[in-house]
Amino acid sequence: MSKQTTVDTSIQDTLNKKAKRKQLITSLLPYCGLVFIIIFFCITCGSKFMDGQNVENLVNQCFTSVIVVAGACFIYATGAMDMSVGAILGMCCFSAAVTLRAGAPWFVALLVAMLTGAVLELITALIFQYLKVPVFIVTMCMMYALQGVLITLVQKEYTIDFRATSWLNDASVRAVALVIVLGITYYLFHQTKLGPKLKAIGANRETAIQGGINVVLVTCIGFCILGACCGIGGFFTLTRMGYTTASAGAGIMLNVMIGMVLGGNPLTGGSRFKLINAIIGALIVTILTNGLTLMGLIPALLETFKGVLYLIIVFSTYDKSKGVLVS
Amino acid sequence: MSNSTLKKILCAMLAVMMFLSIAAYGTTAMAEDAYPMGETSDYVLDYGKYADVDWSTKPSFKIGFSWMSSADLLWSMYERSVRYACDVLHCELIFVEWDVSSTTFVSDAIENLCQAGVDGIVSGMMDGASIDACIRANVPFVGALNQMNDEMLKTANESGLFCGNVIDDDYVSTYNSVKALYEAGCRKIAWVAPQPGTTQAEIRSSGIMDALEDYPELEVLTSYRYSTAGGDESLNAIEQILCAYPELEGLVVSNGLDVTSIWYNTGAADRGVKLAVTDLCESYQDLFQDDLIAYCATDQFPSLVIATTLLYNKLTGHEIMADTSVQMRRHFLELHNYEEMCNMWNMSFLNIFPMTAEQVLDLCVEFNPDADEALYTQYAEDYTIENVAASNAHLLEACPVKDRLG
Repeated sequence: MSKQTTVDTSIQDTLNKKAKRKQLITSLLPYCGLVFIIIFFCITCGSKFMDGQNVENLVNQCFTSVIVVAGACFIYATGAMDMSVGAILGMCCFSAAVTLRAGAPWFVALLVAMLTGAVLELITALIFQYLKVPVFIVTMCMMYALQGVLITLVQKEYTIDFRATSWLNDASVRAVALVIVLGITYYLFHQTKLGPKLKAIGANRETAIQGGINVVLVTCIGFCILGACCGIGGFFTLTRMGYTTASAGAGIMLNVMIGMVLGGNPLTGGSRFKLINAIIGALIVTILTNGLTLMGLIPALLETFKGVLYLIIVFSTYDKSKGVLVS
Repeated sequence: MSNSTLKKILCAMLAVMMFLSIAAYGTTAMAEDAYPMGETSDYVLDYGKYADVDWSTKPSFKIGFSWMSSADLLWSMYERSVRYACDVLHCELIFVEWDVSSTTFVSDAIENLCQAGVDGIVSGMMDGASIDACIRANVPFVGALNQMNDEMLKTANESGLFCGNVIDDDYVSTYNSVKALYEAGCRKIAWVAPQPGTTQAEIRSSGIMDALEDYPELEVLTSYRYSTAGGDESLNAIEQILCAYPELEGLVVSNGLDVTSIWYNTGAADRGVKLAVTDLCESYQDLFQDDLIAYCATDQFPSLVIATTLLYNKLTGHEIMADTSVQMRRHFLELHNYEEMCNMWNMSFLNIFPMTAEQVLDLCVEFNPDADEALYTQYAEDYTIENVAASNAHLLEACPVKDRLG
């Protein structure tokens, strides 16, 4: 009997070591991916990639994606996804533009944009929670509805006084804003009870309910945080472009999803969901486009290359044992 | 071998393959000598009186161009046009496609072009950050194809690097579309346009509205504004209009849509319903042959070539436009029959560009000291299908009408 117990313990130890090694590799892979492409572009692009100007360009180019991805973590952790992110960002752009044109200072326009995003996402969350419509459907319907509203409101480019707000496009200002937003979202997600509750909902909603988590409230808070992040992203998109259009933000949803997956986060949410992984994924997307352009890659190859690389990264970081892609 | 080990080996192999394929295959980095070794536009270069120019004494530049994906024939024409201008001027083209998954894809592309070390930029759109990127890099820039809004125009002008914006006369094209249907005898018409959202869409729609006011005899049976988000909404709408209104005599479409099969499938062709459209589609040859197109405005591509010459002039130290806040308008080519369409198609889509290399260099002070804004204006006003066909007559002669369209 004791011999059997010794064997069982030994097998268990081996399995534990394997599991820990696998977990370590899986957790390090996104960082390795990021380091790999940075080194790759430093070699192929020479000084063009890492000089001060390009670093500033990267800060500007990744800004909106990273902010929105950070906010999206608060709902993707629950296993939900939001198809209406682009349309909501467009609405936030428009609300900020209207506020600025009315003569309000920039911080008021920023707050208005954040409020607009939070309210729209709250509506989505309430429909999802109380009408029990699957979140994918709700967000898709919101996307179409908001696109229609935008098209009605934005007849042509809706401009602002670009020079008055162009100081907000400075890379140092954006870097500071990025640090502040990421700091707050990181704190909320990893240092408060909000993050674990969101992940618990993603792991098993019924268990979360029975464990005493107010699923409705927590989910609504998660959606509102995403909305606020869309507001920040929308405001800075507006100041960068100098105008907004009916199609502002149209493609960001794809970047959000790719960022999540590239970072190794499971789209079903759950306990292994990490904010930092999603941010790394968003950075990889931006750095890839920037680096491949500096290399002079023929545009026809660029999309093919990105697609293959994404496939490799997903293949190596995604845990297929979870099975379902979207719950 | 365990699954995880196999996974790691596979990933490593794929990564190495990609690295090697990129290194071997895909860069357009500038060669050491001045003339670029890379892609060409494949257009015939008819230098005419400039055939004996000694290019080794002429400056050569790296021109950046950003535009949307060149995945299909018509969209690829934009890149091909700028590449033609660069071929003529012995410059290198760095082309960057817009990554539309980014919210600020225009400025991202231009920032990356500036970082890649281009000497000048041609762009189909400009926004605030793009202009700032050009200012930081001290890179002259020129706009083409799309109307710039007043705010961006003001910002661009203040930079001192702006060469101008060359646009097609969108208003005139849609106004003339309605007029052409009227002159073709149509009285019951409909019109289809994209939903509002860009300056260009609004200008084209306003051309239709103003023409309808000027021709009150025209009865508008219906109209439709479709979403540009993609999908077949526009084509479905046209199909439904053609079926629902058998009394329809003419349809105005403000953006090129491939409606040919719909025309025949719905019986509109049998009823003789006329189409008046801005932008050309490949399949329109059938409609032209059956005399079902009353008007087709096309050929935006020389706007890019003219814009490139403005940029080249700026890079060689010559300012052409006295007031860059005035956007330079040029006419579309207006096609009314099959032969004109054949000439147009062969000239743009095969290997004869509407503007000859000689005409391109005529606009550059480096080759023609008399080049000035008046010359540009004259060229724009003289741009008709008849004049263009005449200037390319010797090239078109080698390409008989019946053999032209493959």
